[in-house]
Amino acid sequence: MADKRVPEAVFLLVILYFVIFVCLTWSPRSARAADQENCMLCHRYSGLGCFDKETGAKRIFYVSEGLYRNSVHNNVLCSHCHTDVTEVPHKPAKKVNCATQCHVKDPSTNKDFSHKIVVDEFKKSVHGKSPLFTFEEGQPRCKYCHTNPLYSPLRGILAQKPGCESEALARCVACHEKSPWASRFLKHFVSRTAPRWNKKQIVDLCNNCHADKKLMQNFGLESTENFKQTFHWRNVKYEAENGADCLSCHGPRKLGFSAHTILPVDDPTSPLYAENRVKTCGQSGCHQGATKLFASGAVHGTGVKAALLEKKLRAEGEEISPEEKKKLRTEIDDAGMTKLQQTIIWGIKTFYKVMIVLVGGFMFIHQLLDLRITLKERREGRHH
Amino acid sequence: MAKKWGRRAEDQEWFPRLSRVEVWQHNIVWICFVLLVATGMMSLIPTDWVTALFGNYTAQVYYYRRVAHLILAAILIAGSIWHLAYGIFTKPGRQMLIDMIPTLNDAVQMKQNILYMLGMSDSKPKFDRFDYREKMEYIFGLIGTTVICVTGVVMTFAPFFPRFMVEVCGTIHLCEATLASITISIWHFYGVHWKPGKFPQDTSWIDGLVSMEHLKHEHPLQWERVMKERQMAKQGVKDASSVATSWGGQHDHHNNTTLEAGEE
Repeated sequence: MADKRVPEAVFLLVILYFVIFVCLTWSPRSARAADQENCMLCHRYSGLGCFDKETGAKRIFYVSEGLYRNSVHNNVLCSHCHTDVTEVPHKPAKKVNCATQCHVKDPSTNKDFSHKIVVDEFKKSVHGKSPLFTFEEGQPRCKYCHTNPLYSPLRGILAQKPGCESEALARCVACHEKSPWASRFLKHFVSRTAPRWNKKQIVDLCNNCHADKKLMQNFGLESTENFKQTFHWRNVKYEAENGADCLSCHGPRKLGFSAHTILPVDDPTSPLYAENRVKTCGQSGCHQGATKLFASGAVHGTGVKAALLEKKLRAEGEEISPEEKKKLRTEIDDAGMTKLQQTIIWGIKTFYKVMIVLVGGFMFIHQLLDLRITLKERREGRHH
Repeated sequence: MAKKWGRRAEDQEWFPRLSRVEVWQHNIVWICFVLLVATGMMSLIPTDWVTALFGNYTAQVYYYRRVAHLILAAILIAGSIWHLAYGIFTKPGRQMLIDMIPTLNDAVQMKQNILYMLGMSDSKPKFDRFDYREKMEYIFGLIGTTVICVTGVVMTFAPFFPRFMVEVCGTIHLCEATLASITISIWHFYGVHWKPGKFPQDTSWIDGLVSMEHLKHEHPLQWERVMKERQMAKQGVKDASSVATSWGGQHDHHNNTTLEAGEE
């Protein structure tokens, strides 16, 4: 028996060696694309990074080539975006401007591709206009929403890995010989046919900032916490087909708006400007046939937004003064009640709480005493 | 004398306590109450739990919860109106209302009874047709039903009322419902279900009858009146109900209401 153990152990060791070897050397197939600019010479080291002098934040300069090659920008060279990097080693690079023209050709126009159109559009929107923003942190930049996750699954959770499903790609490659091209095309196609964010994620993304009461006060805005009290949110929550998320009204695609073109509600071109609401509510798939009265309802349900709307309705279109707006903002809580009203509700609740404790307590003790005396009477045979 | 049901013990006499109308009014109230509490309190359960339970049918469950709550509420309101009409327009109803009026004597009896229960006094107060416990419960019930019905109607027709009023009514509705559920489960359930000797139930809710023992022990004044009345009848007084010490008209009422119910 003893002599047999040696070859078994060797056999196992060989298998182990191969497993470790494969694990260490394996990388996604398409990651083998050439690094034309040789940036990976340094950036392939996962320890590459520093602490920011000003903010103290940790910054990581490591680039995973495999992941990058599977990202939406896989066909773009580093220097196309990092235009200020011209030599190696380079000085700290500036932040990338997404409106930069890169050297990728747009197949529809054959011109150099750029996100400039979107950036220009965004700059006109409420999120891109600077006068509103007194500090930079409040302004969402491209990357705030475009996180470009690499793991967008095509077939459920288990199939998640960078890039496209090989099976799907195989169907392309059957005719389109060059697989990197097919992979890019498929990825682009797949990522554009469906919104990157689902409705729930959109609400959460917007609420990240807009539900923060303090942050919103800095901009003189109302928080949107109470959106989750509305029927629209219910629809989103239970994944109803036409559930209305923030963008359905604030940047309706069907009416030619988008997340990049969100405008303040009092901008006459905004889809939520009083005159345009009927059209926005009545967009296909939503409240077709909406009337003006319907469209003037309070969508966020309660809170300052609702109170402002109600006031506006009562004043029949007259504008509310900024002072009054400010007063409402400080006075009204999320449920849309003034301080007096809150006190009244509090009073009612307290009254009932006291009643429950007093009456319930009295009754409980009374019946407990009755139980005691009844048991005693029964023992003594005085009770039927 | 009152009809004895087959399953009743034959060794003692059974006396009417609730008329047939009252039994049915009680049935309407308790069935509606239980179901209203169930359908109402369901709105307090986190939606996620309900979704986990009913999955794709959650929306339907919530829809029918509301429909059921409204239908039951309508039945309860109709029952309450019936009860009010019964209390105003019929003789036994009026007698019942009169007997339910709280008096100073009730406060005295309450004090005596509490002292007796605490063992600080040996004399147990003699209760009449309705003791202070029953009066308290009835009056709380009247107030509570009114409050809950009015606030419920406001909530149902919310678009016709100012927003804040609906908010106030919602708060009161919920608080009142909680108070009612707690008091009913302590006060009423003890009195008619959990009290030793009563368990599992005081059967008078089914046929409106109580045993002689029950009457003698829990409503001795009424019992004494009944006995006096019988004695007088034996002695030849023809119209027993004309006697001032009649037993609150209870006996006669039962016959009257039975007739009435039969005519309906």
